[in-house]
Amino acid sequence: MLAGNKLKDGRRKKMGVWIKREQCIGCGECVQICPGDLLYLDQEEKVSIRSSRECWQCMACVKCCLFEALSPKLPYSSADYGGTLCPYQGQKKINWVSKNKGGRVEKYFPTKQFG
Amino acid sequence: MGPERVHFEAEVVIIGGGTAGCLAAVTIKEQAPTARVIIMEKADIRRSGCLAAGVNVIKAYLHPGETPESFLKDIRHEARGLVREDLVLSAAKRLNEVVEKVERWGLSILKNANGAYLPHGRWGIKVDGEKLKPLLAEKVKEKEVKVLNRVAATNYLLSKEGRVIGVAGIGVRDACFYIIKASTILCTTGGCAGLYRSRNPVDGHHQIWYSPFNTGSGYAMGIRAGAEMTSFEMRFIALTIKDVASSISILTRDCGAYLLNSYGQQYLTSKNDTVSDLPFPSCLSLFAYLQELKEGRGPCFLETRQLTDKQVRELKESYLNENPATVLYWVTNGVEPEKKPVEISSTEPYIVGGHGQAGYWIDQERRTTIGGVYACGDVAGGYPSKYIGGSWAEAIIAGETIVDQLTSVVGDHELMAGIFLEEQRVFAPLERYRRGLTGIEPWEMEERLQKIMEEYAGGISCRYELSEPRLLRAKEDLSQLNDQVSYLLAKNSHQLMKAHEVLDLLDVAKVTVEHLLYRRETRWPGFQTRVDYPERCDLHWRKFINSRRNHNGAIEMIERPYHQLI
Ligand SMILES: Cc1cc2nc3c(=O)[nH]c(=O)nc-3n(C[C@H](O)[C@H](O)[C@H](O)COP(=O)(O)OP(=O)(O)OC[C@H]3O[C@@H](n4cnc5c(N)ncnc54)[C@H](O)[C@@H]3O)c2cc1C
Ligand code: SF4
Ligand code: SF4
Repeated sequence: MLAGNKLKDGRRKKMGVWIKREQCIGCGECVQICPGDLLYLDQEEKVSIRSSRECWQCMACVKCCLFEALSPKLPYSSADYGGTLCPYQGQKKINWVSKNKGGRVEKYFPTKQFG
Repeated sequence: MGPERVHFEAEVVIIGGGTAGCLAAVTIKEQAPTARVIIMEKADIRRSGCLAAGVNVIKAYLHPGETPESFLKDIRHEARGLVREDLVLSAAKRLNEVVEKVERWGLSILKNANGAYLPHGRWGIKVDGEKLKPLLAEKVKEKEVKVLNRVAATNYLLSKEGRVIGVAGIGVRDACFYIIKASTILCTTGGCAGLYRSRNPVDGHHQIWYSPFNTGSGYAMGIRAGAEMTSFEMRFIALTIKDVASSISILTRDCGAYLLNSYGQQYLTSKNDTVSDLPFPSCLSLFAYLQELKEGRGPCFLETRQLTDKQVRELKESYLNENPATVLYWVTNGVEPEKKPVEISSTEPYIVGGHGQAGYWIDQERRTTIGGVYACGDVAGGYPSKYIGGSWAEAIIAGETIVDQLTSVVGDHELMAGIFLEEQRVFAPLERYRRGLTGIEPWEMEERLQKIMEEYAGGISCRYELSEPRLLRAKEDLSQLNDQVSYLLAKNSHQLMKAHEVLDLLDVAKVTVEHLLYRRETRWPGFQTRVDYPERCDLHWRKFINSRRNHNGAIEMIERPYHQLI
């Protein structure tokens, strides 16, 4: 069962998280972790989401994927199309890189906090 | 053919391996290493409950100069004069000890040059807690607690005398029927989201502040078993960053952001430093915000233009630790907090004992009124603004009492009677589907329930306002909805879990409405605005409103006095 339409860059639309299918190796880690029981491996052994309306945006799945196949997606009702925020696995830490609609890239290393 | 049955037996079962449940499990195993302890968890304890995403702050901690008494006074202020002082004081004495304990397990707490914990407001400390939940889970594993992930509890199993003898649940992935025999059960299932319609439409249905996967099942199981419940009328509604519903605590506490209306006026100016992240008790800050909207001065904002570029970067990094969606929201919508104040909005109402004080009526040792059942954390009542520290303190207290009173497991004989009935109740929606019948899907019933609560029991669209005629209508409609339960349909085990979430919500909703009806004053404006009784009346209403469902299914109301200890 395939959910949603495929975009040019391989991500799938209409989901609570973006899934880069070519990067997913089907290890099932995110399926184990999702607190809402929303993710499953489809017939091609790639991850799919049951229902975007049930996603809490907790990012537990995004952060546990060592293959960086998942990234957060906000509902269109509250956020423009075009910007992205992608995790990349640093040593013991998740780092992030954001791209706004105009293509400006910013990198974050959330080791310390405000103040 | 019935579902496959899976049997376990333990001295202690902990329902819900969240913040409180994990800490309690470890405490029990530390003191009674040979006791068999099982955690029954509907998700995976590594990332379950409120803290699935991670945290930056732990509340509460008593910094130098503070005492359990000063803490209690602040909580009493936050709760507008009505709080279980015995519960707050007993927890307050353990707040620092629990935090230091978890630090020894590996939690990184930020410190100043002298080694003192960096404060976050008067009662918080800053932590590097993105991986707090995985850390707790690691400790649970090390202590050889048996964890049943993806098993959702559905009901207590009781003896003829009404004492607990076990708990039943469904396998969320395997659709098995789980039966655990135990004479001691600790309920730590968290609070309840999903009673009211979400502020965000369709795809944003679960874009809410409280965990949408905590659907009040611990409350519902207690209600069905006839436990005494308290203060369901003290709902909790948060002020959050608009659309993403993320906490504003970093902004108000660490960035010095203050509240602005659309005319640039600072509409709340007190510098009163309470447990609330806002200048006044949380309910009054919410009420002031609602007044701004009502009188045409909304939308409202948090002033962030004082931040430097470097500070904004740090701010985003903080949010990436606890709510990455906030950063994505800013990036995609071109929001630059250093250039434009950040818009806020209020959430859906929740029933949650760790922010409001709805929950099980417990004694100082965290025993509920059902023999053998204990409760702590967000599911336990009487102690608002409990947060992580208070939930942990309660977990230690409950854990220690449980160890003192460990009893052996009862025989099979008594258990069997309850099992059959529960099995039929639990699997009915799946059975209906298997028999090829049509019916109602869980999401449909959830929508119907949320519509009733939204329109008649004070949802967002009516500014959370309550009045008797509307509440009576809610009661009537909920009772009509109750008659539809036998039509619920579940196509698979995931939907079966969803079906039981809705059934639990329905039981919680009915009790909530009774409580909202009963308190004929406005004690917590914003959370509980009775437009027909707008004043607070300490003479008649400085007391707890409790309830208990009797054998006929009717909800009896009980009044309990308030005791001032200091
Ligand atoms: C978004 C958010 C941010 C917060 N940030 C902070 C903060 O920064 N600092 C702070 O001090 N406090 C914070 N809090 C408050 C704090 O997280 C809670 O008070 C605390 O987590 C309560 O612990 P708990 O164990 O009662 O609930 P939870 O940690 O939510 O655990 C409940 C557990 O029960 C499980 N469960 C539910 N139903 C069932 C069932 N039927 N069967 C089996 N298992 C079940 C859930 O999956 C979950 O694992 C925050 C709360 C929220 C919602
Ligand atoms: S964790 Fe990543 S690689 Fe593994 S199944 Fe999930 S998306 Fe695919
Ligand atoms: S963001 Fe959270 S709720 Fe959404 S799919 Fe990922 S793990 Fe599940």
